[in-house]
Amino acid sequence: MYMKDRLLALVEEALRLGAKYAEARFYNSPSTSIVVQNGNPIQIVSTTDFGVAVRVIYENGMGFASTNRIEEITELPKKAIKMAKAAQRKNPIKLSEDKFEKVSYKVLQKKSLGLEDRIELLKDLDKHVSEGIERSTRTFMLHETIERRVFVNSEGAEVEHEIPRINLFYNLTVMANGDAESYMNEVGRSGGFERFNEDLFDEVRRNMLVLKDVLENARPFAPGTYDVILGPSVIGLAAHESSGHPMEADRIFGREAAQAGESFIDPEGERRLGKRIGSEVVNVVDDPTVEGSYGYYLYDDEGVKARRRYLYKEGIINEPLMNREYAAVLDTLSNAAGRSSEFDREPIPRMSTTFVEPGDRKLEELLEDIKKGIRIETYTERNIDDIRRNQRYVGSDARYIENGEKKFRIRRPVIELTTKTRRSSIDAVGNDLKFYAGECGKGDPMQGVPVRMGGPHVRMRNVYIFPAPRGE
Amino acid sequence: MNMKEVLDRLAVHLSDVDHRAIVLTHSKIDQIRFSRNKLDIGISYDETKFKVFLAKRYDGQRKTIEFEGSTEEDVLEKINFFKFSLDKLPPNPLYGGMNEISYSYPKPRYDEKLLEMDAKGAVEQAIEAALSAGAKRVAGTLYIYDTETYLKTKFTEGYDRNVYASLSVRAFIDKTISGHRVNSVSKSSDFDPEETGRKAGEMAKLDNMNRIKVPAGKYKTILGPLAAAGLLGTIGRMTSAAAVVMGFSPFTFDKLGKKIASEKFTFISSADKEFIGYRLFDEEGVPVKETKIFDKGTFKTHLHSTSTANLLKAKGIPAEPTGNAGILYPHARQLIVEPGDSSFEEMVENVDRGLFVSNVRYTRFQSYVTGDFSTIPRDTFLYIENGKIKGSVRGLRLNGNVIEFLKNIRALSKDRYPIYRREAEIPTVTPYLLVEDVAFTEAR
Repeated sequence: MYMKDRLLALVEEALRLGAKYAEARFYNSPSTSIVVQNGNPIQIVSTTDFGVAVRVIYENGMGFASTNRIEEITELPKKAIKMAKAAQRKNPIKLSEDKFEKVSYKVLQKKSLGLEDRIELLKDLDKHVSEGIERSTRTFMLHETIERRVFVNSEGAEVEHEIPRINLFYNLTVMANGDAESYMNEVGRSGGFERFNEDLFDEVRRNMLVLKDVLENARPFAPGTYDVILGPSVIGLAAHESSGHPMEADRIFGREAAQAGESFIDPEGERRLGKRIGSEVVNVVDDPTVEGSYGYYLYDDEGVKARRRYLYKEGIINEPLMNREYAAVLDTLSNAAGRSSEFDREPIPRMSTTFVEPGDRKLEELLEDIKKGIRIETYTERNIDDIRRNQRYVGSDARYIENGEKKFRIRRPVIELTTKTRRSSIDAVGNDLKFYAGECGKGDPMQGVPVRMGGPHVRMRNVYIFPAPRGE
Repeated sequence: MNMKEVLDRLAVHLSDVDHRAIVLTHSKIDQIRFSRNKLDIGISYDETKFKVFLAKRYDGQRKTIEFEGSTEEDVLEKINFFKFSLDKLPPNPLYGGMNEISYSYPKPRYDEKLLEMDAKGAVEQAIEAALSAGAKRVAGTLYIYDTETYLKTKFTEGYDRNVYASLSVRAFIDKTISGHRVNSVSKSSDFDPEETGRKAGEMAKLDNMNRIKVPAGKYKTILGPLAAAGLLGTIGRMTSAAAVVMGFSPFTFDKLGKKIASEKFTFISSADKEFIGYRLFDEEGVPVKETKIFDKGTFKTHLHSTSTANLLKAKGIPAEPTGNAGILYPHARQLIVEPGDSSFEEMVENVDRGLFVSNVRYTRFQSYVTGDFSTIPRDTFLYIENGKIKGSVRGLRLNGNVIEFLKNIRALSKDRYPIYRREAEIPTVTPYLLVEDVAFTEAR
């Protein structure tokens, strides 16, 4: 029997057993990972995310059951109902009343590479990156997955997709004079290897040369208040961490309280939907439909059609990221943010491609009236508290600026500020836009989903910056 | 299905490779998630996973490949594909061989009573106890695990079964006033949802003191078991020999044999103790054993598989397999810190001006090689002055360097707590730690 028909049969069986709502998913996503360390391929791993899950609403409970054992698949409706019985609430569970389609879509790979070619690509990259650098370690991890998913529910959704996703993670360290400096980053796309070209090689090489330059030429700087230019890499991260995460509806309503945390946004307090949170020059968008993005999809893992959403519009808290359960809580329709990372994970509100919309200022204009400032293009360490208010970014590629000109390299400048300070300190947004890929972690058990984040260069005024404390 | 027979059938197709390990795990997990005092969802996981490692010799060097599958047919298909793919791959210079000794392992020990528990009742009991202790709302997760593992290599074969449970309860008085408690057990007699909920509620109540504005600076700091387990798990991961080679560790080979941590710190990789990370053997069939990574402050060994140990021995560095998971990338299954002789109360009494950090999250590094990091205190976070708790603190971030941190441990509690949760993925048994000169910075 065709897999979609088998899933429909599972849904039908769950309804027959008394479920008010049922959905079934089948994922069959093969992946290959290659690790090349200092030019040597040291690990090649092939895995598959393969299995079936059924989710139901039964009486006042939600249940989910998954298996990758073929002989157990027909038992899933019964197991899901058993789990729903073990998780009964006092009040009924509602889902938003979305419209569903029968649809199938596929992303094509313009360029694919075999295993040996991928190893060669990484070896070439390693050679390009390390040339002329005396002491360093380089670790590259290339991961390709062909995400094949089938989803059906009891309300008419039948969605099939095939999305290839490629991710390159790298960890670089340069050593000199008993000291070391490191940088990690990742590059990811949906589609094929067509974007893994000279530009990527040169970007990784640039990041390596920054580490060497930091160790050889960085000069001390005093802690104090500076005007700051943050590059797209830092702005993209901030858009994701301090703008996107707090707009996930399950955080706002406390469902992630014991795991990833909650949100500074309070549905009944001062920081609720419709209230101003930051500068009116800032719009933050999350859009799953950006072609080629590592976070790309057209229908979410609850079968809802995806669309662009403005999380913050002109500084106002606008639209949270919702799956169907939280869309119903807010008495609206889902905006297709329900994602499940693997077949055995429940769909919860997640980001996709999150970015600050570009403004109208050229980079030179942002720089020209800075008397005493710091420009941070890339970051190393970063973290944020679990209500997404207190955040920190430590610069990797960073320079001191005087009278609009870059003066000298500095090492590990730290910006540690609240989301409110960050947003209200922004006075100008550049007209450029660049994206970076990442794996976003949330949920329990942890769900890592592919995302993309980005933005333009942004200028902030009067920000306190200090050199990172270091071990003696 | 007889799993042993499945492995025997698959092994027949691998007679021509030099080294092979097939690990078959069958996991049944039940989970209940709860938040805002209500149950959110019940989840049942039932998964079979085959993990295959192959190594074949070519001109004095070995090529390796690993793959996973979910059915016998799937694995067989992959064996036939990847066995021949090996011919085309370059050799792996970081593969030094695998265990070639045949072992017999003891019979698995597990407590089946954990599988009979009333999960819904346990969660409701924990919520009720937290509310009675003063919390306004409660969130968390209960997991009940039952995992069977079958191993077959060219040289040895074994069977293991592990049953354990972990209840995580976070109690809130408001959005920024909270307490967290975890009860991770392998014995039903140690499972106490009422106490877990009550303690989480009490910790939230303790956090509900007058807020004190504490400036950035260096403080004598007491780390609770959740905070300690989070940091020690990261440190344990860094002691893998593979982490050093790949640039993910400050514990370089030249530090072996040197006293780089506090005299009071003894840190053990030990899956042979019957806590939640208890196992019989690792992925190449080496029986688990107690390995002192740090002994009274001296860095004794990295974590090794046969492969990493052989590679180091070839360079003249003494090394033995330490019975850890992972053939190419050994890592700890269970970490244990030797206890001290203090109580939490005595630790507080010995702090003239300091902080108590009950929990941390989001630990990130500026460089794994230098070991510089920061992490964010969460839940009960208190200011201590002249041996007394004076109030609660917010807005500070803990900064450190892992080696400085280990060097500055001044006292450990005599009571220890097994912790296994989202932010401490390696089961860790840890006491409270008292650490000197911990730097805190402040968001503006």
